[in-house]
Amino acid sequence: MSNSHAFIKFGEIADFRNGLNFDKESHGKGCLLIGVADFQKHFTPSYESLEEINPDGVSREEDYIKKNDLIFVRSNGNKSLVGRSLFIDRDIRALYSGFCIRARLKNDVINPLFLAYYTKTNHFKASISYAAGTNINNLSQGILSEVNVPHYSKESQLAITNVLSAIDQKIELNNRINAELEAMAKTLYDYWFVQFDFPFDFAQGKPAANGKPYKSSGGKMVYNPILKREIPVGWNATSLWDIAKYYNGLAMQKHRPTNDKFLPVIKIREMNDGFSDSTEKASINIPKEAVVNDGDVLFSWSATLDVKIWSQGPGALNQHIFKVTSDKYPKSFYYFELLNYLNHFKMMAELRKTTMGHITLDHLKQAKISLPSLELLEQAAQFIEPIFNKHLMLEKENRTLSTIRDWLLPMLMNGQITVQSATTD
Amino acid sequence: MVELEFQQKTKSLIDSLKSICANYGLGNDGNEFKIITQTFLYKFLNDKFAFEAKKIDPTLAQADKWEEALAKLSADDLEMLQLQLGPDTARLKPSHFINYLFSQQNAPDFAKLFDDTLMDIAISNNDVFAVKTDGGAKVVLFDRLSNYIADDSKRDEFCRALINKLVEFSFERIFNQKFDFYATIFEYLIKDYNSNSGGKYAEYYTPHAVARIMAAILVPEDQRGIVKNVSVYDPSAGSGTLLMNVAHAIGENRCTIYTQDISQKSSNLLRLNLILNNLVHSIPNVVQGNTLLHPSHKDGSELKRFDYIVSNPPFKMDFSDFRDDLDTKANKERFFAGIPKIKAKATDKMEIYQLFLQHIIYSLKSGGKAAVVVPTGFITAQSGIDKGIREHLVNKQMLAGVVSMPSNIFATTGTNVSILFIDTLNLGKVVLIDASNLGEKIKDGKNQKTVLTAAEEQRIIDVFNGEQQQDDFSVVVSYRDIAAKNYSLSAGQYFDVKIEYVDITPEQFASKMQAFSDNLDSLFSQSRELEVEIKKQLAGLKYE
Repeated sequence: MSNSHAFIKFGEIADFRNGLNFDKESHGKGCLLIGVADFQKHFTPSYESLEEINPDGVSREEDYIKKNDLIFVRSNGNKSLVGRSLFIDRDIRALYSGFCIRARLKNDVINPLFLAYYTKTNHFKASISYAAGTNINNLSQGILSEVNVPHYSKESQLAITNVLSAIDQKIELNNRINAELEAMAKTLYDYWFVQFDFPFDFAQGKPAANGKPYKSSGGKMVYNPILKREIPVGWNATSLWDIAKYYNGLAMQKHRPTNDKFLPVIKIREMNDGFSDSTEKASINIPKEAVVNDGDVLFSWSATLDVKIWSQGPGALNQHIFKVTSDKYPKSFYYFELLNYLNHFKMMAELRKTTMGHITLDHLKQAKISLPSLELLEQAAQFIEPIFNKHLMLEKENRTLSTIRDWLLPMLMNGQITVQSATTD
Repeated sequence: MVELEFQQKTKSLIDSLKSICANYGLGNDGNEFKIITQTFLYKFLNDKFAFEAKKIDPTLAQADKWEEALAKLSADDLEMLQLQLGPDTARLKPSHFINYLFSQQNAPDFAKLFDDTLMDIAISNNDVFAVKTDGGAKVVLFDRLSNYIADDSKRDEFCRALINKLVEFSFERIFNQKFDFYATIFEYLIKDYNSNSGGKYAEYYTPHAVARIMAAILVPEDQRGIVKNVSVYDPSAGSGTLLMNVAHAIGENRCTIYTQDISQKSSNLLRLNLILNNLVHSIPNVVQGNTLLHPSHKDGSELKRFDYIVSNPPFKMDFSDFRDDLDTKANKERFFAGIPKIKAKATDKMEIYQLFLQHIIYSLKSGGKAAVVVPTGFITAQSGIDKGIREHLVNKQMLAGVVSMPSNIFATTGTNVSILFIDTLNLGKVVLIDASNLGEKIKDGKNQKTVLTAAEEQRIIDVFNGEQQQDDFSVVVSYRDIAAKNYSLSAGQYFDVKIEYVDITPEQFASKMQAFSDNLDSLFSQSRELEVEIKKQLAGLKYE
């Protein structure tokens, strides 16, 4: 079934160089450093989060990375990381650690982006094992040189990368759109409910879509002794506890699936990174309150405190995370109020910390907030909820796109699927 | 300069004693510590005697060799001299002097002479210098040191080496030195023996910053020189760092120290510390034994109450062996909030600090003050004994405040700690300080350690004593406020909530929303193009 195609040895198309070992003297600033911890499942490094090192007296010019380089994990206690790659997609001054190997193309036989995609396939991982024997602990330049890289025509390589990178660009773009949408919704929410400049029709004496900003147009403010600050007339003091219901997740190890039907378990790691191969499984017969669906507000209250709108599909809520709901108030209200209180909660958790910081129901009861009229909240929700919905939709789209990409990738690489180029059309 | 020079000379004496021990195969031997501290103590007592004797009898001071001049005194004159010496000075006979031993070093059986001499000093000064155990036995000042050398043919040689080091220079001029000098020397002396490798009864060394803050808040500047005739107690004294700081703040001659500690080693270190710090008069109050099970300081049949109590008790320890022995009718009042239960799976995690804390509260005189190091979890726990103790402190109005320290202020433990200040007379305001964000992080061997700068230490002291309120640092609250917050003593719970936010003008708002909108327009249109592109690419795929 596989289309017969040639291979070329990695060593014939690229030069390799091990990274630098830095000791204590190099602690400091001066140059970005890519280390094993920066790989995760990324395709390209997240450049903003790289650590810095002082390269003085250690590095030479040829040690720095260039655009189109590939960096591999050479050695790690966790064997599954060995062989992971990062593609350098821009010109940036950076070094890589001694636990990594760099591959730099020495001719244009293979398209760099094509190569980067290839290193993400199981075929590549199998190639390493094939060259090195099974169960390797360390990658070496020798092993990498022996790896077989599929050798297609330049046109085919380009066609394959075009398919994959069109999908990746869309995912990236969706993430940017989502960041904009989130920032926009928060700007509006804070302008209305933190700064109290919600639109108000002073002639009619009530909130109105085309009104003037309340506080800066001289809207009347009164001191609230519970909140210890001024709030608009007619508003009240309430607490986070009183505006929503907090359902604590379950210890899912007590609810393991009994057949092949299951729900993936949402722990704090899943809240941050979504589901993965190592995500635990739970029975589908858990109480329905413990089932999380897209759009639910989740609030982790122990260890890593965070508030998120869930978007990764149905899952089972593990303990230490609240599912926050309300029959009365719009989601935008309790989501943003929790978010605005988050830093304060983090501080409280830090103060309580004996070993692991967390907050308690009392903190929610003591978290006093101002309560606008329901009418105004619903007016804001009319603007914000479509943003939330669009956000969710794009997240879902991303999920689908990456599933397609991961499914196509190996088949494109082994020639099971071909791209009909424009010329043969 | 004199101080530095003597500090250096004293340290090199300690070093050379250690190297003798190492040469005789006692390096890292459990007994090395006894040899070093007791030899040092012998030297100290000898020179102190000379110092005091010369003050009393000027002819001794003028004599070429005071030891010989003293030996020539008649029995009556000698007794007269002994009588005039202060109680802090050990009574020595001419045959006890280092110089005498030095001149006898070639005598046969020198080791026996050396040991006999030290034992004789110990026995003739037993009344003042012996430490008691809770069973009533007395732990004398000296052991037969040469016995620690297994090979008895080496013992004479070993004792000769020691005595030769001791004659080299005189301590006489250090007796005018101040507190800090002795603190440094003491720390240097015990640094190799005060590790936390002691297993069950780990003796953690309380950091100086913590000790200084406790002393400065318990005995503020304006009360120094006024407070007198007071008792200071530590029920888990260790080597006595906290006590020395408080005693120094009050004035060594204005207070009497009482201690109890289960560790034999700690009791010996503490005695040495007391001798160095002019607190010899308190040695009879040093008891070695189990404070919780057999509290030894009593007034009649009642437990003794004290004016000041300082303590850095162990936090968690296995006391399942004697837990039920504590649970008696007689102890109901002392352990008013309860006795921790035996944890079936982790007996070593039993909260023994809760017992020490209750013991301390019970042992305070009316009018007394205390400072106790507690795990930070204590100040907020919402149930159990912790909360019971806090309710007691608040309802009986006997709190001064709490200082929550930064993480890793103790290099040896990762547990966050706070200092609890108790003041039985404080009916007004309680000061809560969150100092957890202060300090500089440094590496101490393998451990991360936090060190407070001198300025930060002073800030904590000034804010506490001045009852100041500082943003995100300290609050001053009433007992009623505390009761209303579930008896929490965590400063953070009382800080005003700040949602960080900067007001924007309507124009700024409008232009910001416009920018979002423009960005989205461009992103959405790119998105549409990409959708087309993806569909085109997918359409071109052919399965072979």
